[in-house]
Amino acid sequence: MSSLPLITLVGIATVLSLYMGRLVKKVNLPSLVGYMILGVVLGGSVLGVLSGENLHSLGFLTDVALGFVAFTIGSELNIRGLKKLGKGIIYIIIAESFAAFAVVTAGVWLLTKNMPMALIFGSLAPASAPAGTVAVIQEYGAKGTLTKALYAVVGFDDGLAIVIFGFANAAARNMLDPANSMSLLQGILHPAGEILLSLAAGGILGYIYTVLSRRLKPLTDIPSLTFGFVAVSIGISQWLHLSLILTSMMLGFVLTNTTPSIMVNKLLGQLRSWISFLFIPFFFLAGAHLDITSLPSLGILGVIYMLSRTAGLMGGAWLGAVAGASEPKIRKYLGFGILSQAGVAIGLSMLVLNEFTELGTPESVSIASTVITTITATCIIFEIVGPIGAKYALTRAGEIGREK
Amino acid sequence: MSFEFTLLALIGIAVTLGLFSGRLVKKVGLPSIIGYMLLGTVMGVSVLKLFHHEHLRELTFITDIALGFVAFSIGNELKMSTLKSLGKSIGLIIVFESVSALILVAVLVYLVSGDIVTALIFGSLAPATAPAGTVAVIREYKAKGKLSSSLYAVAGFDDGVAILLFGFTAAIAKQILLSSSGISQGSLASGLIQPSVEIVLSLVLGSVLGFLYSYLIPKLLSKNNIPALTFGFILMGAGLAEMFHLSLILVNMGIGFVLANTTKQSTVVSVNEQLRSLMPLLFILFFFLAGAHLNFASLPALGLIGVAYMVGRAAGKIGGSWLGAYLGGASKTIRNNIGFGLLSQAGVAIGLSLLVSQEFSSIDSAQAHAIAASVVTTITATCILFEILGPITAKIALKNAGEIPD
Repeated sequence: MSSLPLITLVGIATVLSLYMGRLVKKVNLPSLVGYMILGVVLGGSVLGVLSGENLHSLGFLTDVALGFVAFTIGSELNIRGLKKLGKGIIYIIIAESFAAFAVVTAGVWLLTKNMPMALIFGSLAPASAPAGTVAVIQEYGAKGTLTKALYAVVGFDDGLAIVIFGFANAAARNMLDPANSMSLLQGILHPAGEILLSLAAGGILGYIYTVLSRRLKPLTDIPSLTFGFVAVSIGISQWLHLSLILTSMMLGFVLTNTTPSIMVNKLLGQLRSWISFLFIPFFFLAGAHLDITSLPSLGILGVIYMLSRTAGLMGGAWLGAVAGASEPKIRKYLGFGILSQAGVAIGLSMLVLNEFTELGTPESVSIASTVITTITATCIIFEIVGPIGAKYALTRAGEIGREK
Repeated sequence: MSFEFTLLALIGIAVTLGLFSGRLVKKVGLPSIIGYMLLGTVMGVSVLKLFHHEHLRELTFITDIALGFVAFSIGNELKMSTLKSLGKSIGLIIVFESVSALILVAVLVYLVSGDIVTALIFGSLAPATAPAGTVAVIREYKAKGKLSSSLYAVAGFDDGVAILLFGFTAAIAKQILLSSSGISQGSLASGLIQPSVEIVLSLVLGSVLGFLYSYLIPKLLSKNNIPALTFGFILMGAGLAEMFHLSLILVNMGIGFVLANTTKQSTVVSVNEQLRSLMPLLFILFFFLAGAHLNFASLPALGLIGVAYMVGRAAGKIGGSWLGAYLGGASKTIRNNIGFGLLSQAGVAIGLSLLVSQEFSSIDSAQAHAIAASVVTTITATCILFEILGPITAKIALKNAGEIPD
């Protein structure tokens, strides 16, 4: 079995995913849940066909897909459209992120009475995974103000999540190891610099991309140009440790806001079917990464994390919408659409693992290992619940038309 | 770790710059793929070395996938009705261009080297054609007409004939070598049987996948799913071909061929529409990587044998296809031009030469070792020239035939 070449495996998984997606659609779940289930079956926890070395060498596919997802988000964020949503959207992003942080920190603290650990869990809570939400929007052809708001929230909240994480992570470190304390200011400045740099790099690339794409003669060359720029954004983000999501998002953002919308639609029309195709390997690889054997290690801590994160995100989004006087349907349903959590959160908890193991105190080492196992397990649940929640929100808001 | 990261950025830069180097060479009337290749050469192992051998090995899967798509699109163009209207001339052209390339190269190489084994080995490599260059040119210039259809058919099916001729001739060469150095020999028949089995199995696998694919395609719920299904089947075809040592080109051509001949025209059209936006990207990557592989340091190794090989092969392809077209009663435009569309030679020939070198270096004879060493370097060097020359002559041929709209 292991002698089956990797490209055959990817081919088979792609075709099977298509039909798994159809199967779960019969019970009204978004197709991507089917892709993920197939990934779980092929992955390390069941059949083991797509695991270890194989999975590692396909990492680039996940990055490219995420880059295209972020690009799509950016291209939907027309400033004029955003203005129609009002200040509400800014309040929502700030409120849902901080509320998730605060509620999870409080919840974990009440359970463990361990402040550094509570801060770390809290700092991981705001990170959301945009791909699930975007895939659902695209699959059902959702349109409307909630859809617009979701694009904006899942895109920009990556930036805020990084800042909150940087700050809380620094605070937790200082508590664990006061001798080597780092200034909290630095804990904020460093990630803030990272974000500014991501936006700047993405903005410059986006500008060049826009200039070039407007002159490109055969439209069939647009996918090549877009692929080239998305790949460069990803490469630069990884190289300089920037946010892949923000950098690639800026490409689409600059394009949309400097180009007539008829032109933008024509350009994006070339990409549409390929983006919906990229979701397939993205989610079956995500599924293959899920280690369902880690589920039992969830424990009460994991349950608290999930409940308080959900409460924080939904409550925060509600609060932000009220404060910003957003439409009722945004106030009621937006929170359901932003629950996904995946790669970014796991990446940040890996960072915690590395840093805290380096600190070397017994407490820091035990926190690090608790964090990584718990977050891995809760992501399994959030990654499946998130898209379902997004579909529920869009359906209730009446932004999903009749099935095409 | 960090080296992987840079790789994705490098690919992104390559694709973007490739797009514009393609424009640049187009200004001087050359096909875009020449620009992609030139950029690849500059960034590759010969000049800047931004892409080195380690990188290129990691990226071979891109070349395989792109070749799979090229083969699929060839099959897709081969409607039975088109093939029938082209008549028996297609079969004759394929046989004559392949066999005469083999014979002319063998004769010329024998004249310069005086060694029958060397002559046969080089002859056996001559028929192989690289379809990607020709297909890329046809698609770029949106060429349409009898010559374009004939080129699709010949460039596609000729892979099968090339494998057969190679298997048979290489076996004879080995036989002569073995008996002259007094080593007991295997059977000559196996030299013909093995490649025949390879071809039949490739066609069978291609048809099976093709029927499954054509059955599933019309039942898809949304056009947006066409890329996923197509990509999935081409990847399966490419991967299974690699696994069972079959012809990647024939297998994937089979998938496209079955689609074109068993499904409604409207279905075929929508598949093609979806591919149209992907093929340019694949061509950039494919030819960029081909360029990055080109090692100009090997050019001096060309030598007299290399020159004999190139002259013999070009003359054989052009003359042979002329003869085949003449005997088959093809039109004058096809007769005079088709050979010029078949000069590309690349990956398949290099692959076969590696096979020869592997087999011959395991034979316990000084002559075998000498051939093993020279065949790879010579073919690598001649491929550099054929890979650049091939698409250019293909464009000229299509232009002469009046199949490139202004």
